[in-house]
Formats: sequence, C-alpha cells, structure tokens
Amino acid sequence: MELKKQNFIQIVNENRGIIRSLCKVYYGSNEDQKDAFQDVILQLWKSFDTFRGESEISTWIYRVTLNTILTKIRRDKKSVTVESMDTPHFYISDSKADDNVELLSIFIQSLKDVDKAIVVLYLEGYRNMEIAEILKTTPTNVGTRFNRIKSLLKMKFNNKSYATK
Amino acid sequence: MQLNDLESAWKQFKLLNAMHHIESKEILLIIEIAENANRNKLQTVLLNLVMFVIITIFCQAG
Repeated sequence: MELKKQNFIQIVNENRGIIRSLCKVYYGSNEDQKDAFQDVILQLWKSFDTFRGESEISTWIYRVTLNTILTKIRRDKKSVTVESMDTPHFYISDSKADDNVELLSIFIQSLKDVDKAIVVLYLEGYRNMEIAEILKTTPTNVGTRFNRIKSLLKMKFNNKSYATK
Repeated sequence: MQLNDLESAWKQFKLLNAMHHIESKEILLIIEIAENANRNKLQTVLLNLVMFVIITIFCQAG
C-alpha cells in the first residue's frame, strides 16, 4: 500500500471519534450515518493533498466533515424531502453515556443544522473567528447565532431541574 | 445551565464513538471506488474526444 494511503488511514483512525460523532449529531439512522461517513471519508481523501499543515489536523477534519455534511443536507433537502422533521437525531443508545450526554443530545436536537456545528465547535474550544473560518461564514453571523443558542439553552434548561453532574 | 457545562459531555460522546477501530479495508474501499469512478470518467471523456475528432475529420473531407 502506498505511503500516502497509509498516512491517510492513520489520520482517519486517530480522528474517528470526531468523524463518527459528527455523523451521529446530524443523522439518526445507522444507514444515513454510514452514508454520511463515506461521503466524509471521500471528501477528506480528495482534499488530503491540499492540507499543508497550516492548521491542526483536527481543525482540518472538523472543517471538511462539517462542510461535507452541511452540503449533503442542503443537497438532500433540495432533491426530495425524504426525512420527516421529527426524525430523532444523535442517538444515545450506549448505556455508558451519562446524563450530561443525554442533555447535550436533547439540546443539540433542538438546534438548526448550522447552529449544531457552532455548538460542537464551541465545545471543542474554538473562538468565534475560528468557527466562522471553518464554516465559511462571518464572525458577526456566528456571534448572532451564538447569542440565540445561549438564550435557547437558558430557556430550555434553566427553568427545569436539570442538574449537571 | 451554561454551554460550558456540556464540554465534558461532548468529550465523552467522542470517546464513545472512538471505541471501535476503523478497518483499513473499509477506508481503502471508499477511496478506491472514487478513484475508479474518476478513471472511468476520464476514459469516457477521452473516448468522446476521439470520436469528435474522427467525425470532424470525416465531415471536412466530405
């Protein structure tokens, strides 16, 4: 096997948690997740040559994965509305997941597609400027969306008895 | 609740999804399907180009 492919496989495996998690955030069924996963791997491979190491590998993975998934969702919505709006996303089927993961799942499910990406990138520690660069939008747009997300979080959870562990 | 409170949850979610190793075969298969598709596209374009040149030459001769 050629060296380039070996390197690529190693990078994908080192970052499999990010890729699989993002697919699960956006897609509910195993089949859709698998489909999205294949699209992401393909896109990562196509852009592998253009990655010059100017940013962290994980940043590149986030950029390609999120933009691939968001493009795929837009394309799918344009062709046919296959998926109903109430399709559950972000399945937490693993018994090892604790209450906070469940809470994160409930919150993320209630967000719009781009807002989901903003929340995930924020939780990864990226700043507004970096999030805007990754999602190919403006920092102002990210800031506006982020304020709305924070209000939604307060509205959804502060009035209820959700306690963080 | 603050968004920062969910940071550990996201980390845990990523860890859960990183538990199973991805087989090299699985990745290679995806890459190779794409490479074959590109090869086929190139072959089709070349074939069409050759056909176009041949037809153009014959039309001019007539």
